[in-house]
Amino acid sequence: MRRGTFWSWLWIALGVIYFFVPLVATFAFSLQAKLNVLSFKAYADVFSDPNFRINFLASVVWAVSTIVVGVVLFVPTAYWVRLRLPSVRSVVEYLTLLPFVVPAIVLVYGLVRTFSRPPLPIVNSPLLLIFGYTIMSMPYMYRAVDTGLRAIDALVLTEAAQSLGAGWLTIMLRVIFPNIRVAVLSGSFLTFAIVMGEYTLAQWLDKPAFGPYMALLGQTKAYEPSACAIISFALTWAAMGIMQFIGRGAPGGAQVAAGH
Amino acid sequence: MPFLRLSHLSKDFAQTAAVQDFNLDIEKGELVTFLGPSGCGKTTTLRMVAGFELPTKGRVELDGLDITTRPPNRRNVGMVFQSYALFPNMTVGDNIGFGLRVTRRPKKEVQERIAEMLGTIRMPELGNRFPYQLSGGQQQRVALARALAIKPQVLLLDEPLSALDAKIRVELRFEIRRIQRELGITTIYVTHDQEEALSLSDRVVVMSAGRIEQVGAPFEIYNYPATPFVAGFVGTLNQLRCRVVDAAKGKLAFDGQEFVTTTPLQLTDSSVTVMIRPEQLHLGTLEGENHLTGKVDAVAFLGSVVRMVIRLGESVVTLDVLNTRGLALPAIGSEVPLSFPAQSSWILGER
Repeated sequence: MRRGTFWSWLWIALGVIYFFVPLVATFAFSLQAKLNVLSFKAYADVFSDPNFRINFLASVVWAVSTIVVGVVLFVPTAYWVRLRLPSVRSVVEYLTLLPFVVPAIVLVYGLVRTFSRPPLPIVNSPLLLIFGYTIMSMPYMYRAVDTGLRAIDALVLTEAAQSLGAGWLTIMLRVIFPNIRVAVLSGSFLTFAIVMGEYTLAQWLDKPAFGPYMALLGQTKAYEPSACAIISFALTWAAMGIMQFIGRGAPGGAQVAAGH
Repeated sequence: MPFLRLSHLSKDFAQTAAVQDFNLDIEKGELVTFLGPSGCGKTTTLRMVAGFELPTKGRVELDGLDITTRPPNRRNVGMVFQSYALFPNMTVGDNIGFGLRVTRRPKKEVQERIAEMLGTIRMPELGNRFPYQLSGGQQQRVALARALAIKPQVLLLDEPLSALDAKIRVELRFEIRRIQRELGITTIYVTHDQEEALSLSDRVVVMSAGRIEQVGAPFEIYNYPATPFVAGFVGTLNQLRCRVVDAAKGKLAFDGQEFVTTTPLQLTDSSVTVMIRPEQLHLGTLEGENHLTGKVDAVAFLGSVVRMVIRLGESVVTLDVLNTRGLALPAIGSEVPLSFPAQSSWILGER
């Protein structure tokens, strides 16, 4: 028993060191913008840079738009597949995993080639970027929603609502959606984290975004990129924290509903 | 014209027939149970009445209207599921009021109906709870109230008690019957539990392999099973393969021991299968009855009854004795006399 405890702690310690040393080093480095003094100068510089604000806010807009498109697209799809087309589920699952296999650079070349000519020449529209992000976040969003639907037994709830006279829209908005809220939220936060740090798509579609901004900063400055990395880490963690907080022990969000 | 008529209903799933030529008339206010083993088509038939399955053939008529292809949300049929299927995001009250709110009834009416239904299921204080704060039995009561709140023309229950423990199951069984009688609502109840079916129903429909085996009152089903399947499925039954000694006098022999039956025998038969319920057999040698002798193989104390397995040569019979505090249980391996009235056994048509 004691031996087991020792080894468990050893592995945990190794894991923590592996994960935190680079982070702590980055953070320490980001504090050294002033010679021989620890300071938050690098952070102050980043926050006072008007380009930071423009690019950061742009990424927030992309992220939120991607979440909206993703939810509208994947919730009904996952629901329908679960309800009416269980036979194609394995095919759909395979499709949702494709973005893991296709590198972003390949995706963006495909998008540029396809959408820079008729019938849909939208290569300069921000829509293409949002749709690209939607594809990249599909594995996370679709799987989160699908897991949520499995947890609530969507089929039986649908039938119960139908027998009580509810139509499809009512079922979707008042039965299915509220009960997979936690799943949708977790998919949304993952999407948010991915879009906020994404580089390739924004760079090649030539749109303002946080990722390319950080890369540019890395080429021209020393301490500010480290500060940016810490900021984006903090952001991701905050997103995870909110996700944990909202999803406390909830199967589908019932407990959350009980809270208010 | 009956209230609910199912005529020539059939349902095929990918070439296999789940239900075949199902015909049944149900009167207003009646409680009919579909009883059968899993896969016999009872739930599929119920789902065709609810509108969740489209029949391959046949019609569903409710109050003179053909509703065979009408979608489930326009049928006015209440449904209770085995898994309760309460909406987890809504309180008990909101669950019960859901069907009324969907059809945009006035707020006041909804509130009144919720209060009324909470009273009917005897949970007046629990309207603000969430489903996960309730026990299984309470959740199923709420599901029942929710189905009844919309004043459906027909109530459908799909194995509503199968997920509950034994004691709650019996309690809720009588509760369902009480509410059903009070409201006079036409009800179809699906179950694989014969005790549930017998204790609850006006009529029982015994099903097997997608077909109706027998329709009748619980007493008829139990005492006059029409087919070997019903005889074997409903209750415990001893089936004794007997040699015909004298067909004219009804004289038979089992394990070399002779006895008589009042059931007429075909003169051409050389052997028949005699059916007898365990509770018709008793220990001892009662005057004017048939007597057999056997050896005790097993004794199982079930509480209100004691079930014994008695060996007669190659085969065994099951015998039930009502429990009393003075009862002396026979030792295993001991030789015991059995007796039963000549009219208590019957013979099913040979297949």
